[in-house]
Amino acid sequence: MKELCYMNNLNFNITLKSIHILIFNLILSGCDYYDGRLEVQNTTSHEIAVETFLDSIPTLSELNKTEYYLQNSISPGETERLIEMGSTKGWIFRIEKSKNNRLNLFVFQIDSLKKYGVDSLVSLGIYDKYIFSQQELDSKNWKVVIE
Amino acid sequence: MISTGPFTGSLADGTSYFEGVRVHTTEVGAIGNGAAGTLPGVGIFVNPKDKYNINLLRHEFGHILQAREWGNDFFYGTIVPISLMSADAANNGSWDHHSTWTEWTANLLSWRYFGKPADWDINTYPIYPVQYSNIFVYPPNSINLRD
Repeated sequence: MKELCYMNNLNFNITLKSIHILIFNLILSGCDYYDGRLEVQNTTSHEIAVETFLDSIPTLSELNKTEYYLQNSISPGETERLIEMGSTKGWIFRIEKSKNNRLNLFVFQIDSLKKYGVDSLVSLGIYDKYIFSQQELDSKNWKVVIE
Repeated sequence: MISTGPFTGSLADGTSYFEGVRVHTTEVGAIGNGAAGTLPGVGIFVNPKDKYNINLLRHEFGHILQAREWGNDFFYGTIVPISLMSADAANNGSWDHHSTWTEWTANLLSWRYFGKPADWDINTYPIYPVQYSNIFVYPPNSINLRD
């Protein structure tokens, strides 16, 4: 019986040790890297939603559904952090991948999104466009102000 | 109305939960620099800035669902090594991490769990591979992905 308790304790200690090693490794190495340096500040008087595209002209295939933009809106005066998954240099890779080597940020008004949907806004060109080089973003400390 | 579903939110003691799973925050190591990870049985690990990032939490919760669906042994023995390898390669810009089966199947399981929501960020968290040059695109035949 004593032996069994010892074995159970040993197993428990090994399991606990494994969990600690796993947590330690996870914190050190991570599993899902991302780049969270880009911030968008809404200084307008209306609620907005933003999206990035790989070109200065948006394509419908790069869009999420309207509901996504409504759920992820930025209120007046609010600053939202945009994350690019895959790498801690995700935004740099995104800029390099784009056709114009720029960050192409598009701004939609929530009122318009509710009325027409994002596909129509893109097709009709109802949006504001902000295009930045990496150097410009570096100088802004990756904080884009929507005015 | 009292919800009978798993708890999402923060308790008075400061602990946070997503769908009943503990959300741990840390600014140490990779997670402090832009990474997240999940250890089924222990919880989800994110940067404090992402404590309420529902899109990221939904993806991480997908890893919990993988362990529930396919077992902890399969998760820790197969998914974790491939996911870590893929994440490291993606962090260097070699490929798209979310095209690795360990990631897009986490997205797929989570998307189904939440009732295929219209506000799902399909661009960032695809439910199918988007880049086929990745050597880890296809899951092993042993796992069941049928709806």
